[in-house]
Amino acid sequence: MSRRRTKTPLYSGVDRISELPDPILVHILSLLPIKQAIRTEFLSTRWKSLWTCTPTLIFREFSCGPDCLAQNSDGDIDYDCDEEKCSRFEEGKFVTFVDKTLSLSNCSRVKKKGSFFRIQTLFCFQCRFVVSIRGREGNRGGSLRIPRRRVSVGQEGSLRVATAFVHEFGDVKLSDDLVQKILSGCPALEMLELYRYDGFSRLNIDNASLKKLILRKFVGRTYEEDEAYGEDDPQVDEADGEDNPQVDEANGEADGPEVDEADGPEVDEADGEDDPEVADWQHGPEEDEAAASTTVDGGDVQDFDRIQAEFRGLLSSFVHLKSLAVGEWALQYFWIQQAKLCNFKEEHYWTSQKRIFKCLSLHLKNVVFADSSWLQVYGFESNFFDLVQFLLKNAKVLQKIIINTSRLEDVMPKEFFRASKKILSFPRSSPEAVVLFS
Amino acid sequence: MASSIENNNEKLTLKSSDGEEFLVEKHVALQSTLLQNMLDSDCSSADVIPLPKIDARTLALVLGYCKKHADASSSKQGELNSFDSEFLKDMDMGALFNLVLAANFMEIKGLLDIAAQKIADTIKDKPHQEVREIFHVENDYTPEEEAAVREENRWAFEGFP
Repeated sequence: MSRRRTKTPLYSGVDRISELPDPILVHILSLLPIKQAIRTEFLSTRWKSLWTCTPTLIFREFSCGPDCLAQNSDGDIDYDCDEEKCSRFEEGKFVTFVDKTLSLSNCSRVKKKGSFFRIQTLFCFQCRFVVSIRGREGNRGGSLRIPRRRVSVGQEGSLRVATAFVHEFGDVKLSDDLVQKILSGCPALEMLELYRYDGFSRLNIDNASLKKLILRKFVGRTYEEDEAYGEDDPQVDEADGEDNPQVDEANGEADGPEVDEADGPEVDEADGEDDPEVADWQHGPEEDEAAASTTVDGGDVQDFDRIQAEFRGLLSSFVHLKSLAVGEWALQYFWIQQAKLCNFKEEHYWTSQKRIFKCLSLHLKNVVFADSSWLQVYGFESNFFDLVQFLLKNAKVLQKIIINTSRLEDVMPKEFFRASKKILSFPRSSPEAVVLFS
Repeated sequence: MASSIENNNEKLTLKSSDGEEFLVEKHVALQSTLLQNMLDSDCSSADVIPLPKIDARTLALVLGYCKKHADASSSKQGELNSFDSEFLKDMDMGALFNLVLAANFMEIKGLLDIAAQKIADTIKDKPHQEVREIFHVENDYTPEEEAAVREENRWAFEGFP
């Protein structure tokens, strides 16, 4: 074939690029901006629908550029870029774009492209649609309503959305409804990352395929980037597409403490809401709360109550929860609020719970506490111990609790020893439970 | 002791599609997952390993890349990056395709990535007519099909001629 002619000019008008095997072409396409990747369809029949196999789709908001001007001129012959109008306009366009891309990408993968089946099965585990919606710089809150519109994407139901970042901004709130809709609309969703969520009062997460849920929250007015403690189960790790720099960028601040593979396939399938088709490789979602803000202003007891309730609510709604990583933010509440705990009605909130947490009795195997500054500040009075005690007592299949003590340099060894002794003395219901200080 | 020295200097012979043989140090060859797997299994390093899909010119390039990456310590990431960009800088498209195929075959991820990135960069920001010209892609759509694709993808063509 053409490769034989090594001594002749190497590139003599032969269409070498179309000769590349599918995986390489798909790899190349995945490096292109999504719009450009789609437009390669136009080159020849060889390229038709090829882009639908790309493992990663990254949508970026259309910038306010010539595009926008052209559109405006189409409409009102208005060259002034009125911010309100412009963003609304682009929003519509953007949503259509995402909608169409997702639905097309889905169709081809599931039904039409029989010939790509081998690649697809490979990608089925790896595929992730990253819906990363970012505001333009200087965008004022509220002018973009994408999160709400985003629901329409989710509601299409059959989408094999594997990963969605829903980046919320402005005054738009991620409501229970919205998140619920995304979850129920995307049964194959594997990872959901929520920014600036404002707490859930009633969230029912029974997506069996959801592997990871990251909650990021900015507390107070300092918009400092939060530190997230992601915890990857091996499957997620593999799917994390390190080869995709854009994903890394989007995920950049997530610092995942390593967790040994503990998610066995022995997931209990007794739960009624499991879709039998996905039960095979379902994994418990992971919950990860994190946010750092040095200026958490104490808050008040109500706040604390709310956080507690939320935490409890999350525990009870994650039926399949297998791993739990608690980041700095949640723990900050635990210790910051401690001073007021003496007034707190439910001092033994955790330990006195009568409620049954399904995830605890069936799935929860790993817990990571990513920060332990609590010890430094409030030592033994911290509510943290109650939580640990509660988990040890109630998690029936628990294998590991990891407490990250790397930031505890200043703590007296003696204090630390006392603290660990206390934790180790808690009764455990799981015979395999281990507490590690790392 | 003697054996460890021997190991360090261990070499393999790779044979390109056009019969040229390359003597490669083992740690350089290990950049390739394919070769690594071969060595991990019972494949003796004394054997000549034929690479029937890769011509001598490409293989020389590939081994140059592997050598650089095998020798550089991880602390020299910046140097490696500039080597990578220099490596592909003036390469013609034909050589680049050979390289990407070779990297794919030999499973050298880093090389595959930079070569694919280079091809992607060439496609990027160009209308499809131009991409067709650059890569000599023959438009085998019938006018009707072409119109249909255009219609289907109107949303992706917005803002482009």
